[in-house]
Amino acid sequence: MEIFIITLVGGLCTGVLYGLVGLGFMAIYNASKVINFSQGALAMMGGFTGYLLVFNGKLPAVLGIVLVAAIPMVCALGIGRFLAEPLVRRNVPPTTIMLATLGGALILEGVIGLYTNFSWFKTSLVFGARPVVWGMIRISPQYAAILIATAVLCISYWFLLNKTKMGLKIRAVGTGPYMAALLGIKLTRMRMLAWCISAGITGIAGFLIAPLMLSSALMGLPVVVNGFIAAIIGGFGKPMAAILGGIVLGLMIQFFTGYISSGFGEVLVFIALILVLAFRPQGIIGELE
Amino acid sequence: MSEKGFNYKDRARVVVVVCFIFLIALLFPLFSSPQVMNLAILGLIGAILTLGLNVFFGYCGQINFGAAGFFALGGYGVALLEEYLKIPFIISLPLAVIFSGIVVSLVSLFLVRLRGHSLALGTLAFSLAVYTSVARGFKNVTGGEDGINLKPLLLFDGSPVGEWFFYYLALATVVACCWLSWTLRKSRVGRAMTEIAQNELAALSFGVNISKYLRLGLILNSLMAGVAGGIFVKWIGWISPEYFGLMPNIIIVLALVVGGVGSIAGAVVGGIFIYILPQLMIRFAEISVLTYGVILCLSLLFLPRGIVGEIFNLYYTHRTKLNVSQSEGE
Repeated sequence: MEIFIITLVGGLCTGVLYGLVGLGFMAIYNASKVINFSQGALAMMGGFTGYLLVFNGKLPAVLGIVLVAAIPMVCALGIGRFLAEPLVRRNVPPTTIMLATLGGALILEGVIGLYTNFSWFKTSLVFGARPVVWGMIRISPQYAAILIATAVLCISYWFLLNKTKMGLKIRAVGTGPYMAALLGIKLTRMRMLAWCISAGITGIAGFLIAPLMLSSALMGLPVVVNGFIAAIIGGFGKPMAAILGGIVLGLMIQFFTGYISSGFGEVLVFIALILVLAFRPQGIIGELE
Repeated sequence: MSEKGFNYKDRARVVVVVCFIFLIALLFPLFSSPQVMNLAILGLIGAILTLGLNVFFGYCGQINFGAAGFFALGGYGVALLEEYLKIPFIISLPLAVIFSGIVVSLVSLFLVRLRGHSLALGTLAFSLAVYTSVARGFKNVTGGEDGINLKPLLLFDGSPVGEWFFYYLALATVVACCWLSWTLRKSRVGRAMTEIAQNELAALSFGVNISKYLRLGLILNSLMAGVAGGIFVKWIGWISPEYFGLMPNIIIVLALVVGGVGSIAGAVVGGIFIYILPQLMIRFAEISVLTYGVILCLSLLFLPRGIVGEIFNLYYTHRTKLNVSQSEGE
C-alpha cells in the first residue's frame, strides 16, 4: 500500500510538471500558432537559475522564484523576437519555425552546457526534507510545493487569459490576427507577452522538477517530448487539458516502471501516443477543429 | 520564367561538374592518409542518411525527427545477426536493411496519419522508443550501454580490409541513393510525392493515394538509413546506443536544412559538411551543441534554401543579368 501511494504521488507530481510544460506549449501555440521546441530549454533555464541562486547562492526561495520565472522570460523573448517572429512574418511553413525554435534551444543548452561542463546540477530539495503527514499519506514538501504551485499557476493563467483585457487581446491575436491588427492590437507585442507568460510557467516548472530528475544542460529535449505528449494526450489546443494529459502520462510512466519493467518506459509512451493519435486524435477532452 | 529554369546548357554544366567530383571521389584513396579516409567515410555515411531523409522531408514535405531510429535498426540488425547467428556482413547488411524496412512499414501505418507537429513528435517518440529498448529494455541481448563489439571484416586471404573497402562501399551507396532519388524525382511516384508536399488537397483531388506515397517515402528513408547504419557499425567495429539518442536525430535534420531541403546535391553537401565538422574542430565535444544551434538558426534565417539552393539561386540571378545585358546590347 505504501509503495502504491508513493508511486501515485510521484506519478502525479512528475505528471503535473509535464502538464505545466504542455500548458506553456499551448500558451504560445494559441497566441501565434508556433510550436516552441525551446520549451524544454526554458525549463532547463529555470532549473539552472534555481541551482545557481537558491541552492548555491543561498538566496531566499521567494526571491528565487521571481528570478526563476524572469530569466527564462528573457531567453524566451530573445528566441521569440529574433528567431520565431521574423519567420512568422515571412510566412514560412510551421515546420521551419519549429526547427528555428529548436535551434534556439540548442544555443541555450550549449551556452549553459559550456558553463556547467554538461555535468549534473547538484540541486537539493528547497523546501526541506521533512515529510508532510496527512492521515496515512506522507508527502515530501517538494511534492506538496509542486501541487500547490501547479494549482496557483493554472488558476492565475486561466484568470489572466479569460478575465483580463490583456488576455482578451492575446486570445484575439490567436484566433484572428488580421482582425486583431485592424482593431489596433499590436500583434508582435501580444505574441511576445504570450511567450513571456509561457516562459514564466515553464521556468517555475523546471525549477520544481530539477531536484526530482537528474538535470543537466541537456535535460531540455526529453522534457519537451514528454510535455508535448502530455498536451496531445490531454487535448491539443486546450491549455488545461495539458495538465490532465500530464497527469495521465506521469501516472502511466510511474506505475509501469514501478510495477512492470523499467526498461520500456519510452516504448509505452510511444505506444500510448500512437494509440491516442490513431483513435482519439483530439485527445481526452479536446474537440476536433 | 524560362530564364529561371534549367536549360540544356545548365544541364551540360551540371553533368561536367558531377563527373569531375565523381572522378575525384574515385581517385581519392590514392592520395590521402588513413585519417583523411576515415573522415571521408564518416562524411559519406552522413550523406547517405541525409539523402534518405531528403526523400521524406524534401520530396514528401513531411518532417521526420526519427531518422536516427532507422539508423539504429540497420546498425543493430547487422550487429545482432553477426553476434548471435554468425552471419557474414555481405548477407547481414541486406537482411538488416530489409528488417529496418519491415519495422518502419508497420510503424508507418500509424505515422503517416499525422501531419506537422504531431508527425515530428511521433517520429521522435519512435526513435526514443528504439533507443530505450536497445539501451535498457533488451539489455541482455544488445549489451545495453556497453554495446557489442564486432569482428573486423576479413578479405578472402584472411587479412582485415582497409579503409578503402568501406570508402568505396559508402561511395557506391551514395551514388546509388543519388541515382534512386533522381529517378524517383523524375518518375510518376516522385511527382505524386511533390504534389502532396505542395498541396495535399489538390493531390487528393487528382486521385493520388496520399498515405500510400507517404508510406513509400518513409520506407525508402528507412532503407537508406538502414544501409548507413549497417556500414557505420561494421566500419566502427562497435555499436552502442549513444550513436542513436536524441541529438543524432536533430543532426540529420540539421544537415539536410543546411544543405538544402529537397535537393540531392544539397543533401550530399550538407551531410558531408555536418558530419565531418566535429572532426575538424579541436575540443568539439564541449561546443558541439552550441555550434549546431548557431548553424541551424543562421541557416534558417539567412539561407532559407540551404547552401546549394542559394548557390543555384545566385547562379540563376547572375545568368539572368547576363542575358538581360546581352539583349540590351543587341
